[in-house]
Amino acid sequence: MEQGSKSSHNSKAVSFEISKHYDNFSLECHATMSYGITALFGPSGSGKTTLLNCITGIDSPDSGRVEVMGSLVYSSDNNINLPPESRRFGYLVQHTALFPHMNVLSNINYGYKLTRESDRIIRPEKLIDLFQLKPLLHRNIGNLSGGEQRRVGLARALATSPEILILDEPSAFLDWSMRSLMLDYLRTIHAELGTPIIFSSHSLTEILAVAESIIVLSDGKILEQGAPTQVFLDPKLSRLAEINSLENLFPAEVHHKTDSNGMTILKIENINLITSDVEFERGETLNVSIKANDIILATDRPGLTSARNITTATVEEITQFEHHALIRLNIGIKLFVVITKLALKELELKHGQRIYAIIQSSNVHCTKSPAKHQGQS
Amino acid sequence: MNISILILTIQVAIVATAINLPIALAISWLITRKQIKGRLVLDVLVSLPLAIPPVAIGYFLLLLLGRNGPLGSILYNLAGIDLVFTWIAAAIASSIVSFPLIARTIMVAVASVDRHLEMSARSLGASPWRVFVTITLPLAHRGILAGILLGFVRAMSEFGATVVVAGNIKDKTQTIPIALFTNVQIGNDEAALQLVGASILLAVVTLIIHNWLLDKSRQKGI
Repeated sequence: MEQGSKSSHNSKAVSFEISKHYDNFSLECHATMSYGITALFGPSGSGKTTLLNCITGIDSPDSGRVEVMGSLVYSSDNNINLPPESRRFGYLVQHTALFPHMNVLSNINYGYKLTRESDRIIRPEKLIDLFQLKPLLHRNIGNLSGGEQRRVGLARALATSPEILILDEPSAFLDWSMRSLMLDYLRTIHAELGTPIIFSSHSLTEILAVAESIIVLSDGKILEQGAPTQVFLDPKLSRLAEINSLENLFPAEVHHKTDSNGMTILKIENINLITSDVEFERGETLNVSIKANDIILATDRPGLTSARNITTATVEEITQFEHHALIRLNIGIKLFVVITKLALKELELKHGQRIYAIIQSSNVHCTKSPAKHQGQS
Repeated sequence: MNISILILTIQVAIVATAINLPIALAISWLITRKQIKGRLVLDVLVSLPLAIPPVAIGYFLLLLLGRNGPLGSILYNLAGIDLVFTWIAAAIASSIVSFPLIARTIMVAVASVDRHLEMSARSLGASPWRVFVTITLPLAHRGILAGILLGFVRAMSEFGATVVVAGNIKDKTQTIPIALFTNVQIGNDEAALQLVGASILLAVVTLIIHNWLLDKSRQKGI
């Protein structure tokens, strides 16, 4: 087996140039991905899975090169093609693919035991903690929910202390609450373990929530690459992005339990948010979703309104699309708002401007965080 | 009925199955997972014994293993071994005749294991061989058991190839089907019926063991 040759600089996590042809589909692309969280965006059938399979070595390109942390793992010119087991990726395939004949703990330990002792940086115990898997360890895979399976899959992939974590549609088939938790996990993995992450997704919500950069793939070709909000400036791409379904997903803690008026106060970082979703106890962790076009902007502080949440905000970024504009606000956390271009024109919004964001309590959707809930039981 | 007939029949079938199992596993891996060149040829070869008369297989073995045959002469000259008309010849004949059943069943079982599981195991650091042993085989074990069962019962009832290459020697190569044929020929109905009974008993016991093994694996939650 040939070893990947080390090059002196490895400023990029992954760089690739891949061409692979099938009878009715061709993948022809090259890009570099930096450390951090990179999203691979594209409709289904655009070649995301094929590309990830070629990078991880599950599939072989027809020609090209793949470099990981400055090491060649594939090069048709130099006749290098490391098998997947030598590439040090943590790869979570779309259907999670947990081993059904092993329990949760054996699944997590499968790759850990195959990892060289000197490479074992991430301990399974830490992952079991991080993903709150303790109560599940001796369960059979068949008895796990979709969200639980995804968490075990993440722990199993990370237990090999991979150089890069690659996830194919990590939130496919999950409800929004579990999706939100999944995004939270991606942030945590990146922050706590420092592992660069590449994930594929066809949801703008997920990408804007966590990705630092994005690669847009369509029909086997890379259309655009860059910062998530910038990439969608192209009208062709903004249609792909389905901006009207954009949501803000974030975790929050119950600050005041549901009162007699049916209102619950949530705390996120330093701000309070009122929701009319009911029956939550103080201290509970919730997943919150606010649709980007459910938020109203005002340049002056409104008088009395029926909306329960009025908060000051700073305009951080304005991206104009064909008919709409995407505004990134800072209200203590990042909040995306979609307004019409006409509204943008009338409000005359500028970078750095202080404005007011108005959110009805009924538009603050909450569910109990699935993992946290289990951790307590 | 002589108990040694029963023992010999089981012995021949066990050895035949033991020869076949590793070959069937290796071939099912090559055909379903390795995408090797010549897959189609191998695929045809696997099924071939099913399609030609067992007597033809026995005759072919007789020519191959006979003292003047290409393989038989080497064995005889080097080690003084003569396989023809021994129980080992019977086991070899049974193994060839029953091979398609065990191999085809295992191939189907191996092919039906989810490729994503194997891909995941590879990316977790497992070599192809380790993936086959720790993922594919355990997940295909029902089909493998079924293949062993089919091959074993076929080997126990093998007649045509065996009688040609191993003969009909009492207490040496005479298995239940061959003894049955002999007794039917000479009109010994009592002995023939006893042998029929023994065949049924063997089949039932084999099926019970097979089902018990399946049940045990089900309890383990696989």
